[in-house]
Amino acid sequence: MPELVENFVPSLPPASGGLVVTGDGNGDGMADRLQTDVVSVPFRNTPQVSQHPYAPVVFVTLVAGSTQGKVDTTGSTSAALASVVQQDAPANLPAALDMPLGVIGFTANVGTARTEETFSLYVGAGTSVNGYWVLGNAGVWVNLASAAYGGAMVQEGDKLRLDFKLVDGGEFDTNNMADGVITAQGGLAHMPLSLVGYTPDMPVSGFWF
Amino acid sequence: MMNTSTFKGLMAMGALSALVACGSGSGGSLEPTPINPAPAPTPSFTAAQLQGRWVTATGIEPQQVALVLPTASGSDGMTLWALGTDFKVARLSLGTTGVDGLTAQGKQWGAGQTGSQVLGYAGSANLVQNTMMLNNGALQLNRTDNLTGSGQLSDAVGVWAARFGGSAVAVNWTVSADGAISGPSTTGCTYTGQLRPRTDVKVYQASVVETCSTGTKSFAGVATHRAAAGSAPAALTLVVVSTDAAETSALAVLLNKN
Repeated sequence: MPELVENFVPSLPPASGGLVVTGDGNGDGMADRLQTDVVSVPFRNTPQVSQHPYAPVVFVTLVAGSTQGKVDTTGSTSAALASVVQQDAPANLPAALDMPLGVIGFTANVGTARTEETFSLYVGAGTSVNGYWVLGNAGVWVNLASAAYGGAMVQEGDKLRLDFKLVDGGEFDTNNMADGVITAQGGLAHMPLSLVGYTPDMPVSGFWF
Repeated sequence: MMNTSTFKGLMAMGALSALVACGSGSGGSLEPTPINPAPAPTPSFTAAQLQGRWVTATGIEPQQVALVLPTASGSDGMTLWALGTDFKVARLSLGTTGVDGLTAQGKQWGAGQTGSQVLGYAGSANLVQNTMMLNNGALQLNRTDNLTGSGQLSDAVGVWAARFGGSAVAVNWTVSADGAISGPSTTGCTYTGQLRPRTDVKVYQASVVETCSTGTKSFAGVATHRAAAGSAPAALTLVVVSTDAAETSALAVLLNKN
């Protein structure tokens, strides 16, 4: 990521009340361009960036080794973000799943194999999303930014922060290897959360009541 | 038993007699002869005798299954829970009228929708043939099981899965030995609840609490179990209605054992 571009991310005022730092997407008081575990990337505001490469820009900030959106400096391990890219949303998404910025693909070097790492994504609070969704082994999209999966979604200033956990070599590490590198393909997306919004599928054993 | 035409004839004669008496001008205290009302017809069955699982005939779409159960609250009365292959849920209070007539009053909830529709059905039943008709014959059901006995908690223990919205959402719930339900959905909601085997009928009372980042909702209703057969896994179906005052929504959760 060119450092100059990263400086254009809307800065998040530090929660501590300190000075706003230019190019500080996660409000930790340090410009993202100076950090290997924080990256702010200009995305195009479209689910199909390949078809709309000149759509308006929105910034997404990704934090690796995160504790509530700030880099965890107390742990024994560290994580470094190797790449963050915007990709087209898959064509076969469930009808109820709206992924307005497409897929966020990223790679993080986490050092030790099988490390569980916490990540945070920041996006403008006006973005209509309610989770960070990844495709699970069972072919169902899973909202990792939820308490059920050890994550959370909170509003911080004028941004949404989505926290989620990934395990090197785990179900949602798309390189399928416990090699100290976590590769993720997920999206900030909106889908109704409650079962009330859905029609049941007919089970394989047929209808029973 | 008096037929209708005879009864009407007697009424006419009675009215005529009264008119004659009033207009006689005799000044006496002649009172019209009271007409005994027709005796109330004796019901041929009680609502309690309708207990069981009732299903529509093969080939009828959407297929409907109705469970007629003693009301879980312990008050007198029978409750009809219905679920169709269109996944609409209905809960009706069942009563008898006349010789073989039925009344069913309650609500219906659409699949995946908030809000309910008030239902009021008239119908009839024939216990000799184990048939029941509701909605003036539009819904014809046959009893396939009396549901006598009690639910067995051991049947429900295990890990169960269901999907919704064309595999948009999956749930994996565990039922523990004490009947506690727990587990997440892939949308990140968590579910807790309880299955309680009923001792008077072969079903479970079910309660479920859904906790999402958008809020918490409680549901209560009924659940039934079917054992595995051949390659078909065991099935556990919960039909529950939200416990808010307006009963705004219902869930049908059709689980298969993992």
